[in-house]
Amino acid sequence: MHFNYSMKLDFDQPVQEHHFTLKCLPADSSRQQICGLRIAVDPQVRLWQGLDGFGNRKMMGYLKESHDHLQVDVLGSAWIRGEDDDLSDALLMKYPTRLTQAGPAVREICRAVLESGAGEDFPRRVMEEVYKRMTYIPGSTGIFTTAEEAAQAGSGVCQDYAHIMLAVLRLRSIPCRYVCGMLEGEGQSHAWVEALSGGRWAGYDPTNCVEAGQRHIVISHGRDAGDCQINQGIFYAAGGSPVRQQQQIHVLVEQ
Amino acid sequence: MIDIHEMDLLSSKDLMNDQLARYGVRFGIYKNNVFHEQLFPYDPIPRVIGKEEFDFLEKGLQQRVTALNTFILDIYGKKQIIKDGVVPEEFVFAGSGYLAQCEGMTPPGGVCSHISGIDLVLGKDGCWYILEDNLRIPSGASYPMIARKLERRCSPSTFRQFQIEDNRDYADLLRGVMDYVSTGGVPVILTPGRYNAAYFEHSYLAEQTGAQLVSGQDLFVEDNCLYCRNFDGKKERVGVVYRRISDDYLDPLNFLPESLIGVPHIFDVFRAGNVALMNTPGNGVADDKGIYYFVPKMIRYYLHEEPILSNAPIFLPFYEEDMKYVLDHFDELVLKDVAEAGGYGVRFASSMTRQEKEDFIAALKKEPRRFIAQKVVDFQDIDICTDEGFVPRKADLRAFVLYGKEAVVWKSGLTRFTTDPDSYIVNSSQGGGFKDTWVLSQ
Repeated sequence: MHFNYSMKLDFDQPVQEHHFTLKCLPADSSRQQICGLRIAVDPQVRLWQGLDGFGNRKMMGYLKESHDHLQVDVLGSAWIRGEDDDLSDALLMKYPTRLTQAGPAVREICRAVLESGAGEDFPRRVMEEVYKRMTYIPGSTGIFTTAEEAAQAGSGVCQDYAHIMLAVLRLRSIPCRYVCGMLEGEGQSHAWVEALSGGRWAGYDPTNCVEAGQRHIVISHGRDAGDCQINQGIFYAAGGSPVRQQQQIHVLVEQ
Repeated sequence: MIDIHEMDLLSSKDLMNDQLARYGVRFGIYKNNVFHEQLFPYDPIPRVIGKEEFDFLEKGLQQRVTALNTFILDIYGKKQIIKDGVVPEEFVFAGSGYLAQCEGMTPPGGVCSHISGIDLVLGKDGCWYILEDNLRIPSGASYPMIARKLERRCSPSTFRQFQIEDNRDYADLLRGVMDYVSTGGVPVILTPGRYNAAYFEHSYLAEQTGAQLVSGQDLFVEDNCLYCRNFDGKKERVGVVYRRISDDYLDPLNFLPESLIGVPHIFDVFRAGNVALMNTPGNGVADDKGIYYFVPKMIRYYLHEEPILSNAPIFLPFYEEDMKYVLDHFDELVLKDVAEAGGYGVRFASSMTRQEKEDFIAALKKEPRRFIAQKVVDFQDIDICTDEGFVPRKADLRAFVLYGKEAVVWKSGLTRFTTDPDSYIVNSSQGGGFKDTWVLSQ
């Protein structure tokens, strides 16, 4: 699969002294192999790389001069070879975070799945239950919406579907992680869930009610969306008024 | 040897306090969000520790800090102690001290707790008990350092009468650790600024170690390396940062984004192995009040030794049998909220009203993981000088362990006392003063 990932930040006034971190480089793992990676950034600036605590790749940079946008394009190819079997962070994926803390609405989903009785594959049934109950409505939630809030509202986007699923799995102490990535046919970045099962991380995409397999390319993973933020930055504006920024992401994945 | 109550130094109490004030020895506290700076009252009667007794403490403290350091590396690495069932995982990963950002880190020299402040008390039974381990940014070493310098000036004869280990080597020990872990480049001390409670200490240690005192805006990151902007505008590579900014505020792009006093990407430089941070971020996982319970187990697990120093008797309501004990003996216990530091969140059950007790027990049952309970250790008083003569007051000891190539215990320490005759809480944020700590050399 070839992918073209493009992220553009627009500021409504010039900013400077801009320190930023971008997490949008897919990494090699036992799940996927990445080849021919090309990175372009505008305005041109020297980038350096590092790894976060989960092994995700980071690109970092510093734009001193005044600018009103930051764009990064990442191109490459991915081969999906199986499932990730690196279990080094499994222990810490069992515990709810602020965004994946269960409340009554999440507990209700968990109860419904448990009562539906038979079936070995608990994560799959959680995925189906979340898919059944939720309505996909862009803009109905924000990046700080918790699993419980989204479950109560009954609507959200892929991030919320994933958070609810994580909250339910963690109620049952099943190690599971948030995944940020790209999906063939989806123009935006995407999010889904991996749950530990039989010594490997099995992917579940509750927004589409499918297993995350050949069409999903992993960019980063963590305890929740907070660990996978694509862009983080701090900067100063010459003017006194607060800066508004807009983030646009375009993803193209094709065979 | 002459009686300590008759030594010449006692006549210099006022002179000493004047001198300390002139040197700017103070600490700041926030009350109702307003910053107040106050003097830290000094009392001339020192805590005196005999040579043999100190040798014993030294071995125990080295052992404890070595085990704690190994624990931190293990938790952010292989997690063997959890896999082997010695420490329950929820105490680690659900605790506020654990930072996932630190997973897989490899601190220079394998050192996490470069400066440890271990709080102890001497019980009436003659035994020392550990009250608390402080592995984040323990403060206080500068007070006995400067007090000793001034004592020697105010009363030279006292130091001819007693054989006391010199404690003015603290700066050399500290600089030795900085040089040992440095990745090559200048050493700096990073301060949040003059409105920090311990600003006197930051500036004094910088002066004494020869490291540069810097604030966040003096440092910047480029190409995964840390640099310092000099007065002449030139940049200089930094190899080690003794940072006095807490983890949360250290780096807005890795911890709290609203921090204005930190350095963006400094933590990434550390992760890349290009700078040493003292102490290492994430140490809170080992000095959590709940983890304290497990330190003796850690010593046995990692070092295959029996712990030399004892914890104060402690109970974790998290365990059912401990909860039962806590409820049965509630009135005899001190209860601590594991999330609070600096003497806040410490409650004596015996001084609670009936309603407070009920509320507390309800909170305890709801979130048992949040609390620990300790028996009140009846610890020894030390006299202080007042206008009415000598009066006994509760005092603790903060011992400092410096860890570079190996763990070294500073032959002194900060002895804090409470001015309130009924109080057991000796913390500078809660009022009280300090004494010098003398370790006898023979």
